[in-house]
Amino acid sequence: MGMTDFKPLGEYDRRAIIDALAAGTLEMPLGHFTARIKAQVNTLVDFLYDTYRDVPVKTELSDVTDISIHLRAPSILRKYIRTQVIPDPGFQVPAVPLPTSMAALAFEMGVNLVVALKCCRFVSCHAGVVANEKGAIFMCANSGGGKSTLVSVLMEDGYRLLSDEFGLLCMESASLAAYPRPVSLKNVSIDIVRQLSGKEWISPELSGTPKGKIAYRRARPDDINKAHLSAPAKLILFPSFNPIGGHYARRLSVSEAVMRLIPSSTNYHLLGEKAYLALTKMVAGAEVYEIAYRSTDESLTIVRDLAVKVGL
Amino acid sequence: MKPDWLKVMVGKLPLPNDTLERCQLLEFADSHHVLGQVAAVWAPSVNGKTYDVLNNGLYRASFDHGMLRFEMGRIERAFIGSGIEPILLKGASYVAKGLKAGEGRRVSDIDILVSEEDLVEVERLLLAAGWAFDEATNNEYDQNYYRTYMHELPPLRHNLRRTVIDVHHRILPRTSRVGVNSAAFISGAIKLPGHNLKVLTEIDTFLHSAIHTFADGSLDTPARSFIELHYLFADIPVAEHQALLERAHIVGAEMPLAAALWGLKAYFSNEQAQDLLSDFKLGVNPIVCWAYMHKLENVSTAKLAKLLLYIRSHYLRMSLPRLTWHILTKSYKRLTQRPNLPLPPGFE
Amino acid sequence: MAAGPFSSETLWVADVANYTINPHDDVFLIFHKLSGDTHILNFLSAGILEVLKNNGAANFQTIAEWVWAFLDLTVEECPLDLVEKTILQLDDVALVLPQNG
Repeated sequence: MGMTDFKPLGEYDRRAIIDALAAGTLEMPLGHFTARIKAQVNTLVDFLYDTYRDVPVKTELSDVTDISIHLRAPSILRKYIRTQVIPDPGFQVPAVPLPTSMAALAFEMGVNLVVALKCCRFVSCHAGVVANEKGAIFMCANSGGGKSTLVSVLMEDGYRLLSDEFGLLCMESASLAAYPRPVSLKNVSIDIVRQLSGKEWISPELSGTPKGKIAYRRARPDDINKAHLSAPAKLILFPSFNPIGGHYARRLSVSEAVMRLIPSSTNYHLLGEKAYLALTKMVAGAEVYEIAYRSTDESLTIVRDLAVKVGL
Repeated sequence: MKPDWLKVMVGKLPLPNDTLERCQLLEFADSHHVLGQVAAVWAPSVNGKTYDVLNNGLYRASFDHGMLRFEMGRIERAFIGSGIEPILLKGASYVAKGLKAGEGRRVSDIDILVSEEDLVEVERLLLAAGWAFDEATNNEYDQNYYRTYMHELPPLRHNLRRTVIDVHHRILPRTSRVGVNSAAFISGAIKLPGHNLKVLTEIDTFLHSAIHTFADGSLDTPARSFIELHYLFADIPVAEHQALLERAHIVGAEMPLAAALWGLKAYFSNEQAQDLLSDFKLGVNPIVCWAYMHKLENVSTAKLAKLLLYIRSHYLRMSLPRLTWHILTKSYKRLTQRPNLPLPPGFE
Repeated sequence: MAAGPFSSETLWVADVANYTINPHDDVFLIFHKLSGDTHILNFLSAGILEVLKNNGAANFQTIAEWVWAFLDLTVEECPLDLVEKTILQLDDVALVLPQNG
């Protein structure tokens, strides 16, 4: 068993990280989960040093890990010629091979996939979550809803990042657990957030990915260090970016909110009644709104107003 | 996979102390769908992250078992008043009977066995109750193929729930080279207490598992199949071992039984299996042993092993040209050059 | 569509032990433990489950009479075949079952 302590990844010698990745013994906590990462891809090392520099890691395994990710070539050929990677989470998963230049994307997608499929300790929903000392804002994700931009914007507005990809609901307390990982930004939102947060927080861009241009806004040390603190949901939002329509905020009933949250969950059925009770408890303790907006500024205005309304 | 891991997974050896190896074993168990079964053995005696990882396996199995109980009720609902009591097979029956082999076990499709006379009515009742032939095999070719050659109807998927039932009317395909007496299995089935469903006896359950592992397919889930055989064999008291041999003879399952006993001896050091095997006049095909060993242990050469088993499964299922002989002969030559193969008695 | 054979004489029971039902606003949220499904029921479906829970097993006609009384509806407002169809939908998701099923 390794006797080393966790230390921010950026403080390690690059050789140590490369060796640990090759051996599959890089241990990284991700909120309440731990991951073991195996890879022999240089671009991944670069990405980790940039976007995960503040995340405490170990180069020897201190214990078994919840998650295992092996970034590898999909075939022997692709190890050497027109090199590609897929994230191999250890079980059958359809993964489109990506060029090694996009190892970052493969890694992020791989980790998200594993959490979505394997997490049994929390009810997991596709959502972005931020919080202050009074409670959390839970933003249900759908494509093009601008959730990640909203998360980034709220991070600048005094909220702590709990997660960009998954809302993790603790079933006993019905409060939200933190899983602070890089916020993934696409296309135009990259520039918006870069302007807002400062370019030192944004990773280099990946162009030509299946989703267009991608960059990551890394989690701040404060977000990472408070990852053990959960927060009760006070405001639940179903946001959509609606450039040609109007803006509005419509309050949803408990039953409507529950029935809309269920399909956004990756493990609701798996967890059964406990998940039902936790979800209904979370919804009953918050106000739920469907909102639409035409611009990032407008979204911030609407959310700020609602936040005041619910006492955040 | 290390050969010892199967023993660890059923509790005959302790979990590895080395963290990396323990990680790898747990990951192997998960990717081979046996994490829940490993958890049933080990979760009560570990804590910390090992417990967390094992617990994930238990969650999934528990979900599957809930789904199974529900589906069993739905099947009984579909057959109300018909007098037909389908026989549950495989994983569904282990869970329904509360066997050790069912603890922590994943269950996906439900396999039922009915007699050929009942088949038309069974099909009619299931279709009336909301099942439909799965799109993937609901074309003329597949429907014909299944009905002419196979031992089961094409898979049925429920319209609302999307769960799948496989309706078997024979133990092995009509064209199988291994002549198994399906009627004996059907007539030997017993009532599942509290249900309008049936299950096989302990001996028949073990034999069916052996047949399914060694004579029906190309062994897609080797770790799971071997673990299953280990538990099912343990359910048969030593006093009934003679009866087991006799039943294997009656139902035509001697070859799969010999192979199963070889597997139990090779991977679990099972002495009772060893004893029974030496009572056999019939040995086990060493090529088959090699192929299974490679499938189980050695990922990089598994492709050849898989090819062999794939060909063999087709060989067993329907007649084949001389192509097969060519490959089998080549493999036999390579096989006899391998020093570490634990060949069954008579082949050393 | 039903989940199996039935007739006008089939006696139906609500599978009370296996679900929890909660009113919210003007609908009912129901979690079915046996299947893991969550449903929203309208007042008619919820009413059928309630009368079966209170009064025991019954056939279509009897259930309809109980429902008309319980919800204060006339047969014109809530025809028998609507009640039947609703019961069969509840059968499809196993919230009700034939008595010996």
